[in-house]
Amino acid sequence: MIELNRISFAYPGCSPLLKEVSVSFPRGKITTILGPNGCGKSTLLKVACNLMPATEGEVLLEGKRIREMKPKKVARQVALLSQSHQPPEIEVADLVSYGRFPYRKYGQGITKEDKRHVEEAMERVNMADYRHRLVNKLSGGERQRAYIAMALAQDTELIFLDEPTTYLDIHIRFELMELVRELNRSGKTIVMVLHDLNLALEYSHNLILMEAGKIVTTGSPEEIITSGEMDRVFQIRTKIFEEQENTYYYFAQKEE
Amino acid sequence: MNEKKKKQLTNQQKGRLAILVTFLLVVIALVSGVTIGSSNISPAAFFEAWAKGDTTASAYRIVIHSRLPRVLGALLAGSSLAVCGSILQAVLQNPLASPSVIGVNNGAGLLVLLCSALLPSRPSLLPLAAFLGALLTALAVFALAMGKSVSRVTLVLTGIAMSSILGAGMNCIMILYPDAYIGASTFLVGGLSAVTLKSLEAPVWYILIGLLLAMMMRRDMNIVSLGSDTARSLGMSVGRTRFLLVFTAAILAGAAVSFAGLISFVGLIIPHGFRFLIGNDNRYLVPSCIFAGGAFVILCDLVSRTAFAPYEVPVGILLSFLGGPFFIYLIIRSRRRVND
Repeated sequence: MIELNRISFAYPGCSPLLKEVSVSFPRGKITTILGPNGCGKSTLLKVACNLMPATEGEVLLEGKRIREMKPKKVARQVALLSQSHQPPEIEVADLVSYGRFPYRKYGQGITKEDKRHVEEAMERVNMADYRHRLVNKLSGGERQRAYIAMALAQDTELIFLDEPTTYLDIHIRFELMELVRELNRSGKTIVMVLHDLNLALEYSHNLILMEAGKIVTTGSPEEIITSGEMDRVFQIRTKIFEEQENTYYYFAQKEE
Repeated sequence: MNEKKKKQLTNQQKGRLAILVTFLLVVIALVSGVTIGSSNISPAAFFEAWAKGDTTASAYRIVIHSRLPRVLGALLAGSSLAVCGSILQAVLQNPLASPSVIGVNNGAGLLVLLCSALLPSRPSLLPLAAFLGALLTALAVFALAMGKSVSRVTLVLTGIAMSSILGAGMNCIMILYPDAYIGASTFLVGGLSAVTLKSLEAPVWYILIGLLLAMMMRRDMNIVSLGSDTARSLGMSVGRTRFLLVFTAAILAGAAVSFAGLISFVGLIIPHGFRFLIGNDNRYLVPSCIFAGGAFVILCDLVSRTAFAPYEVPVGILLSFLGGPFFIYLIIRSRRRVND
């Protein structure tokens, strides 16, 4: 699995976005990174999968230094659904087939094995009927499912999702999170960045709370809530309601 | 309703159909380009002379010495500039990019004129000089485009400014070395009247290599078009792939400019036309551009040499008349999308 050891990251001539971050993501779990805007959540994801090489420290993937690994080899173990897409004017099936790029030899077309993975990925996210639809003509939720299918076609154990629910309607957010949960149950390790605290608390096994490029605390949702750190970092107050074995959270502005 | 759905072609089917249709189109254009002109020549008359080995027959002489070099030149220039345009649009993720718009053609042209002025006895070096000029300009634009705050229109405006600077350089060379390049005025607008089979001997290899590279990398162009983060997360070495694509675009633009001059807008009109018809899948777009670009320039050249007979207008002028309004339309559409 991925392990980050004393990672720092800064763009040349700029102040650091990550400061000596050490963390690992438990195998087979859903881990969510939380924190205010600009605290380095997305940067942490990109550094973790070597999209942006760390300025200091090292990232280990299954015990090997990730920066010394070939990009295609990393992509066979880690898939990333990045935050913003310029939706391409291509068919869904073609987009999903790009997920097989890490397995492709130079100049080689799509193989039978690739086709099988593409079909399975589309089936799993209920996009098989959309195969000939253009990606840029899909709704926000359908588009995210198409991109998740591409990540599934990559056939990796670890999937990173960078704000997958942004700009989606509330019921689509829940649908997407149910899909994430289903993927996790089928054996995928999920690491995601979310802004929606309710979704993060409901769907995660493990939370990482960040502030100003540093990790404040990690733990289960209950541990994070009861520590009071989330209230401090987001400047909110959290109320917990329990009803028929379910726990609900209400967030309000912090009183002066 | 279901029947209607069944009848709709998928992008893959459209792409395959486009390749077939454009291939047929290029064959028709080749035959038309060779047979139609100030004196029409029937294929039968040419083949009769050719079979007899009668090299003095007028049909044979017109085809071999005048029409064939010109048609082959149009085919090579059209194919290479159309593919170059589709590559630049994918790499820069900018639909307004084309070799003439962002200054790549002018970069090639400047070094062609410089090479003609300083090394007049080495015409075989012209394609290499043009390639270097195109590559340096493309890399400069590429470096600029990688800046995060550069908008599509800013990039195009910078390309136009760069074209002006390079154009001024070309004018300087022509003033300082007036005899450096025979037919310099045609070169500046782009024309095929001076093309001979000899003048195509070197560029044809550059273009074949460039087209082969483009065909090999057309799947990579699709991945690059998804954006840097997604392409990297799929395991692509984005910087290296982009450089290879820019290198290929420079080979194609440089080779075309070295014999056809500064032909404009082919790299804009053809890729856009086919994006509209078959979508953005470069697996089909690149081969369609190879055939359609060639057919388009052959047919435009045919019009430019027959419409005003006995006078002849360089094909570059006709292409500018067609491409200029199309470019303005694309800018307006691009701005409208930003405002929406």
